[in-house]
Amino acid sequence: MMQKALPYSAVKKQMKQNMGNLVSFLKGETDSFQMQLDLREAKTIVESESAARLGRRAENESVDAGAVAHSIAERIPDKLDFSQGLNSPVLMDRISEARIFVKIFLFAAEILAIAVAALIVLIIVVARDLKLAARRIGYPFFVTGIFSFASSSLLPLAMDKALGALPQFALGTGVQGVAASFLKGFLEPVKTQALALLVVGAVLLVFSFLYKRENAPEQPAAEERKKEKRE
Amino acid sequence: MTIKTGILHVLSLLLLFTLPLLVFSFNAKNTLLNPDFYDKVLQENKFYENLSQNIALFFGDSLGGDGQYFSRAKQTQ
Repeated sequence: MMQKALPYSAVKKQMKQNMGNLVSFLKGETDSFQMQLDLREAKTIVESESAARLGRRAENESVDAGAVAHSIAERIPDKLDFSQGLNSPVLMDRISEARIFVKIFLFAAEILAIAVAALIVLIIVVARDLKLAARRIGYPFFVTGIFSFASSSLLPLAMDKALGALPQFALGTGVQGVAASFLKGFLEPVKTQALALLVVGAVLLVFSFLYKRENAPEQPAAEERKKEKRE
Repeated sequence: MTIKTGILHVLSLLLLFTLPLLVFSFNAKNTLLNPDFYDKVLQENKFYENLSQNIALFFGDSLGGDGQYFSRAKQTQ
């Protein structure tokens, strides 16, 4: 009956909201966070369901089904508060540390994005030549693409091997599954981005090799060869 | 090697070191700090189903099985 009153979809919806609260707290968007499951709706369902089940028999034995159903539902709390489990000072210290770390990380990520954009602009400005700039930008893009693609393809395999080498009692199958899908979920978008970098890098490199400058001076060796042919 | 080529070499090398960091930091930002990512991982590992079942079992036990409702009703009365 309780499973009917608190279905999987309701748990999922509320837990997703809880994780959103935790992430917002870690990002510094909120100053506190709550992790709880609201059971009020489940209580109402349990009460009406109990009353319905007790109904006919209660009538026969002159028992107030509504009152009994209410007393049954009252045993369920209004909410399950997971935040209470996080109230220990040690755990709160760790969460605060994680919050600082996330703040530094977000700042560093922004600086990194600006630095990469600035480097690309600088290369274009210093090179003052399409061919040269394309080669100097294409080469890091291509190499990063290869590196990212290789690491995002090989890391899950290495992880699977490492987890597989552990004795079965070291980690529960649940933890093993979570670790594997966590890494897979993290590296899947890296693979796509790596491919994009690889393609952009390759295009730039090919362009830099095939592109001919409009006002490029002819090479002396080529001129000599032409003269020889005329002669 | 001219100064210009030297500078371009250094800039290109810097780009080579910063680009992978950017790729991984961008992904970390979009996955590790995204509730949808955890939702997907937990769903794949049947976390919600197990939690729902465990809560149901816990309160189901405290409420009593179907057969116990009526005896509890009598006690309450």
